[in-house]
Amino acid sequence: MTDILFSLQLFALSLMTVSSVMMHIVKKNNTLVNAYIMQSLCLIILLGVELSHQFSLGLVVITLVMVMIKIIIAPMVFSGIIKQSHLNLSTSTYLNIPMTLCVLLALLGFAQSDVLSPFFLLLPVGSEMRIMLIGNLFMSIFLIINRKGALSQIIGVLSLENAIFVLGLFLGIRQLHALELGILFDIFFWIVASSMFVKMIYQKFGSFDISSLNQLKK
Amino acid sequence: MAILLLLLVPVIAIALLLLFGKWKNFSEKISVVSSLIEVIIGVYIVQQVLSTEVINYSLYFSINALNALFLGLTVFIGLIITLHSIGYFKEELKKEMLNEKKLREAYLLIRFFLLFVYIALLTTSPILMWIAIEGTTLVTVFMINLFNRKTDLEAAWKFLIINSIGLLLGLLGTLLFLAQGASQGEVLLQWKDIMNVNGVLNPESLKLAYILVFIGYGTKIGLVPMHTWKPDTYNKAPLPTVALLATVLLNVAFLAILRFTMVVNQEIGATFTSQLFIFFGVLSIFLSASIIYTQKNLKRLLAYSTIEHAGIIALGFGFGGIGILGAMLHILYHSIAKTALFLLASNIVVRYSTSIIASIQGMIKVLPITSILFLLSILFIVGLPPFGMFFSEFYILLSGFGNNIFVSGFVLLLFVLVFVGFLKTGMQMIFSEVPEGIVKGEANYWTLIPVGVVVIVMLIGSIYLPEFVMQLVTEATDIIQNNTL
Repeated sequence: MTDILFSLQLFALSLMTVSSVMMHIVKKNNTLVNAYIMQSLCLIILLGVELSHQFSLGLVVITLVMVMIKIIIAPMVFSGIIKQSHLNLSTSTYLNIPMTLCVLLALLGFAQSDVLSPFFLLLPVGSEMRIMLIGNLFMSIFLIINRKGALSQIIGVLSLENAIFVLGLFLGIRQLHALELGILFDIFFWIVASSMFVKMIYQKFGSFDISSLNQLKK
Repeated sequence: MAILLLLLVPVIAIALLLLFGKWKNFSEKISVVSSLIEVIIGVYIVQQVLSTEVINYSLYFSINALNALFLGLTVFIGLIITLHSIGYFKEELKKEMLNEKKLREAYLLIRFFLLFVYIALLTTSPILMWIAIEGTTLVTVFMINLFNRKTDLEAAWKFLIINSIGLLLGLLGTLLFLAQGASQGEVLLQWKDIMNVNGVLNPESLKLAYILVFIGYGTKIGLVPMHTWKPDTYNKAPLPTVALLATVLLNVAFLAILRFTMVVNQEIGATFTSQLFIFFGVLSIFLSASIIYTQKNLKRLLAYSTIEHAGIIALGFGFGGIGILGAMLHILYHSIAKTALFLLASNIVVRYSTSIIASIQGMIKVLPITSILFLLSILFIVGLPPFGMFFSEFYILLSGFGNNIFVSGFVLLLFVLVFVGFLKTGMQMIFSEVPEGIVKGEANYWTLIPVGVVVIVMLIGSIYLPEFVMQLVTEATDIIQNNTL
């Protein structure tokens, strides 16, 4: 049983890493949203594994709220924006795909460097999982920096938040479920607020491209 | 009980604003009443803290001299800004910069902002504090975009993304702190719990966690190099909002860092945290001093001044000893002086319809009372003796000269640069010829009386600090020095 659960964790983490890489290279906004759904599903799987270790009603509620926010509401909001704006083609990245992949590789390499040894001390997992856990953090931050689209930036922030949540699971942190729900509600309102701003950016600038946001420099 | 009441008042005000906000002048009235009640409860809580040291409410809320000092400042500044906003928004309504709906939204957002700040100030849980500070981000982003212009939207977006990333890094750092107890199977809910897992905390992971928290909340403070959102936001947001960001929010973010600092200092000594405070402090003072000297925009000038003072406060905490007392006094004086400066700047910008310094001329003839108050505030903020800020900066540098003479000498030179830059700009704005087409006269009493009170408090506070304030400051300093949380 433990082996199966471990394999499931490894599978979910690998899939999460693949979706993080996908987010960097996809060209269409819809695919980007799908990659985010896939990443969030991995998070739900990992929560499921946690539930099998220590079942609690609170954790079930958190899992359900997370499904609602990350798998249903957020993708619906994003798809709505894409439909309304008729802009399925995502804006480009600052680095081209080969260069982006090189940076991702370097980030994954950095995730196992000795500089991060204080991290390793707290993570009671093998090196393969550690690379993915820390690598996902770096890849999400890089996504926010590298992509020019406002929607991509939102998904980058949410991807970073997913990566931190997963890391929190593996760090074995236990908090009161009310506080965890508080974080989730914060994220929900963040999604609502940022989506409103993406819509406004499209209405005022006619594009999702944040490189067109250059009025402050004038 | 008083803590619960303080949290309930803005909640009730928000509910009333949502239900009856459309009634004529209701938003203004309910905001003022709410602010007044918050001040009364705040004063009561401070008084209780002075006599009993700590007040607890449930597992999640507690107040000692440290957060009582911040709370006292917040309720006072909250009231002043609410009162000033009435006059300011009236003027902006006349200019059709906003409509009735946006006006109601503005009052609602201020109440939400203050509610989140109270939670962040009073909570004992690092996670709840994070949630509340993230809440202020979500409220602030709408406040920045209140006038709904292209540039406002751009500044709001920049603020949202940079602060969200910063806060997520802060959350990661917080989780790493909490993870220290996980290996022992302990549930760490409060800062005190983290301190109590004595001997188990790993110094290296503690340092990493602290760096992440420092970057996270340092972004909210606007310490260089995490400051990039600040000049744009301050330039575009309504100035009463900016006054809240430059004082109340800055203080809350400092409080967050200080709480983690005490945990780290208790475990591994103060050297590591001191180095970080000094490094980011000097960097912030250096960058802002060089920009203040050549700045051409009033709002940006004040933004860089806020970065500079955040750097000075950080330096005080870094130097330690009497520097901590200096930093606490500096937080107090800076909050009051910056409230005055931003509110006076709002009078200036409303009258001249620009924040470009070259276009703001002859202020003494156009806005005589505002000009005098502005000049006094400038003299205060640059640390001219005998104003209060001279003494707080003196304590910080005194501690610095004992610790690191080169850093202190360098900072002293930068102070001179800021002094010259500010005076040059101030004199140019106040004593020059009035440009054509500028209507002379102050806007209304709402924009003068509250800020006048702040300036009077600032001046009296320079020569005489009431005993209860001094007691709060010294007790807060003791808490930081002894890591008693």
